[in-house]
Amino acid sequence: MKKQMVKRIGVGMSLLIVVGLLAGCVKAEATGDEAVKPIEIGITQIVEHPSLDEIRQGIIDQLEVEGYRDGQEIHIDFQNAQGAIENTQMIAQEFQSQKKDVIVAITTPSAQAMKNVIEGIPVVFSAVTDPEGAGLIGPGMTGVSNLTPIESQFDLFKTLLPEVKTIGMIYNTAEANSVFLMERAKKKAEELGYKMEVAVITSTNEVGLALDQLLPKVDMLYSVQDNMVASAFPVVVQKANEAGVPIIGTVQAFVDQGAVAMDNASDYEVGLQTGKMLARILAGANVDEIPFETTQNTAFTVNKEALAFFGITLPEELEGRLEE
Amino acid sequence: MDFLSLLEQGLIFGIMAIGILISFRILNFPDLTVDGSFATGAAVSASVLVNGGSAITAILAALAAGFVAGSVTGLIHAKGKVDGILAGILVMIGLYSINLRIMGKPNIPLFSVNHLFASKEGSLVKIIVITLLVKLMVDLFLKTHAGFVLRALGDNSRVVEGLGIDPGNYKIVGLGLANSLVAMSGAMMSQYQGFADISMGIGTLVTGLASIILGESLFKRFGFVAITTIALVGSFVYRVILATALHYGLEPSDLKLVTAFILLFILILEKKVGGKYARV
Repeated sequence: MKKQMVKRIGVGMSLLIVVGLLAGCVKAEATGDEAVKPIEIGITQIVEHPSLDEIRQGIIDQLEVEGYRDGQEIHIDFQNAQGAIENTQMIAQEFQSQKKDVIVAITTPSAQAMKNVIEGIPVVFSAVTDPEGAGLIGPGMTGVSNLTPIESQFDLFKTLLPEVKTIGMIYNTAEANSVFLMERAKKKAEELGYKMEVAVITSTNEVGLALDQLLPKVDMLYSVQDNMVASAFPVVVQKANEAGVPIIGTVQAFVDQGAVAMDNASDYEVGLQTGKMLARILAGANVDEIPFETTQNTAFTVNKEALAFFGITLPEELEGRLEE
Repeated sequence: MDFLSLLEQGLIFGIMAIGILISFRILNFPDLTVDGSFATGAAVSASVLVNGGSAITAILAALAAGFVAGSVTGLIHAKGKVDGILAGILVMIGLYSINLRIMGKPNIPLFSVNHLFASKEGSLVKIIVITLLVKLMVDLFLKTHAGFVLRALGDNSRVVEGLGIDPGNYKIVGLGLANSLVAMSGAMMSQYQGFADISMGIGTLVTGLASIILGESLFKRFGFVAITTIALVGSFVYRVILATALHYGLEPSDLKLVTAFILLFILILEKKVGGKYARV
């Protein structure tokens, strides 16, 4: 029996060592010796991906502009849930038990976890497309919704690609944002007399197949903020170019990669707007008195190579709005 | 570190671990259906709640849906003579579409409907009562004739066949039972976290196995501990380890590595010291 005890302790010790070693790899906390304790800010997002990282960067940059520098006036604790919903709960509880001063939740599931767990700490969400549909309207919470202004999207289709009759969309069925945007676009398309064809994917591996089905049926592709499509966007551009179908996107990253144009607030801009809101709360504003905002400051950008490839000339009314 | 909420989550996931213990340890069947049926439970429960059903109705509906999912895997394996892992994968993939159909959208918030944990008060008590109820019922079931047959099946199906019993039917029921518990756990988790999401359930099998292996390594020497207890305690210990890792500054992205290391350590130590898993 003694032997077993020793072994048991051995197992326990080795577990501790493993966790300890791994924890040791993590960067040591900066120990500032300022007299003032920095404001503790917890930031979390469901997954790391260029577009969400842009938003986070925007928030941090805006805070710096407002005089809140990370490591000086504020201390930012960033936690990424790695796409696992169960991690969002643990991150929320960890933030709650550390008594953060303010919490930023980027993406819908992360914000929902905060809504469920956090009490007595203001929460600011960002990049939530449909805050009402996600149940995020209520006390203790506000934020920035990155809902694309649908009117200006369809205006752009009409002025830039007047020949278009059928619009194609490809989206991931598991993303609430994408489904919401798709349904909204479908409704608008019907109103304006367009035909709408959609293809759904459940993994990045299906993008090629889905497009092979979709592209012959459509005159243009409308790409919304879909994490999975974003990850596979090079494939989307390649297939669309082969089929002679121009893409109109909703984020700058899409235009950079070969979509002909977009007219929307950039992710970075969404981050800046969230940062402004956050700064107001840090300065003492009551979170309950700040209503949630949708994105402002949309920008119209084009990809010149893509325009040339499809032989599209910019109408004069769009020339004036062009941002480099 | 908030041990009470870790205990809450540990017990909710513990119900799932009991389910996986039935398929993995008792039936000796590595059942991948669970990665789908966990979300099925959440989906069914959320749909019931949103349409005005009670929390109890939601959980019962999840139990039933999970049973169907598991028995389909059992049918494919037993009657269709398809390899067990493959049967589980097929059903898991199919469930993704079915779950989306059930929910109608990928994410359903439950903040404005009434459910088990709509008020945070007394949630731990509720969870303990429900978990103990599940545990006792499973314990009782394993002592019935059918329970004995199931346990014999995992040990040696030849013996069971020799007694003139068709092992196929028992496997179907066993997998149904296992997945109904997994789905129930998914239903409770979605109510606990305030929303159901289609991507819940990714990694369910790994979480369940980690809990079981941890529990077994803790109780290995005590032959008299019920396996359901092993699953529940293991599930709680696993949560504590994950939370500790998070608390001491590990990134959530490293949690999977932590899990892999821990399991590897235990498994290798088992081999080294010639230990045996808890007998079932």
